[in-house]
Amino acid sequence: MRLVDWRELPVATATALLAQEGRWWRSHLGWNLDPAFEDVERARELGRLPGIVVAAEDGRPAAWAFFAADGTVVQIGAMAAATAEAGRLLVRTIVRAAEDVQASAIGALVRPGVPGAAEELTALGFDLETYRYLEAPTAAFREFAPEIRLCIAADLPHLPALFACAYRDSTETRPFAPNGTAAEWEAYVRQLVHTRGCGEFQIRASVVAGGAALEGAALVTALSESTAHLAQVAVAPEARRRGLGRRLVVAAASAARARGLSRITLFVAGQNARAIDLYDGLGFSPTTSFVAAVRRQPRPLISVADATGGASTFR
Amino acid sequence: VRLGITAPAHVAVHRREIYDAICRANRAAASDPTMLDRLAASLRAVVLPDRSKP
Repeated sequence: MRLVDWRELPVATATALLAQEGRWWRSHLGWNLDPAFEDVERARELGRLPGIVVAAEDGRPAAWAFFAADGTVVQIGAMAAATAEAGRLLVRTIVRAAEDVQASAIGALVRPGVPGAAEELTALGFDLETYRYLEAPTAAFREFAPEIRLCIAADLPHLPALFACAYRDSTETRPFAPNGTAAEWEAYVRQLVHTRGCGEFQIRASVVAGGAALEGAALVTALSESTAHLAQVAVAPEARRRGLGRRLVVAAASAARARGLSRITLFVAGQNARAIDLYDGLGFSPTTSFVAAVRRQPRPLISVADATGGASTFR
Repeated sequence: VRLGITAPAHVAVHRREIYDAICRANRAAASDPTMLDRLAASLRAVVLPDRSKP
């Protein structure tokens, strides 16, 4: 196997790889990632998006991925592999590149059907978390509680602070905002609102509660002409245990239905039992699951605190 | 939670010649020491040794 910088791929080869990946997301999940992959291909051609292709002996791509840096966090953008050997080599290569530039964290989302990736991430010391992908028809959602309103552009700058406080005490492994810094939450909102890797942001199907300091939000994107996606639900700690999360989800699904989207989907962390119960009670059912992987850097490899009287080494 | 692919922001480019000019300008101006550039440089370093093989 041979490594190739994906920015040197001929346009036809890259377009074919992205089209193949797009077909997977569409046929398995109903996602239309064509607009996102157009942005990816444009950025690739401009040299702004690094990526790796593992080529088999016959020269054909056996695995590929592109990755991006948001601040100091390296995110593996999308990943595909035909064999476990190619998948493992691909992951090792990207992680080595991220280590070389002293990234503060590396995050990845592994979709089903990428052999070798989760195994290699585990071997490299990543924390792994299963995220369930749930779906529900929107037909049954017809409530919009009085305390909830549609999101407006002026709310967007307040979202990072809401997410930061909503996730402050969470223990789940998340590939986004891995260190929980303000800059990371801003990058997260930017990804959600301004890029098309998780559908097109629908401000008029997204809802919030509270004043300028938001108490809660449920943000919706459109994954295709018929599918809405609940890309983020958050409730501030002081506004919890009043059923606000449930009312936000119901209002967002109702707004999505009113905009002609017949199905709504979402990801939930496998260890977030409270949220899983909520979605189960609202009629969401599981379809498939993904693996999210995170490794924060630099990580202490060996603690020599005892031997040196307080000093430790970091790799 | 927002999981999916990590895509770059959409940049509308309507005319091919403008797009080509941006491409040329980007290749010329590779001196900004941002994270992404350093990442790209290290990526090249990872890839290059392999090119010496037949």
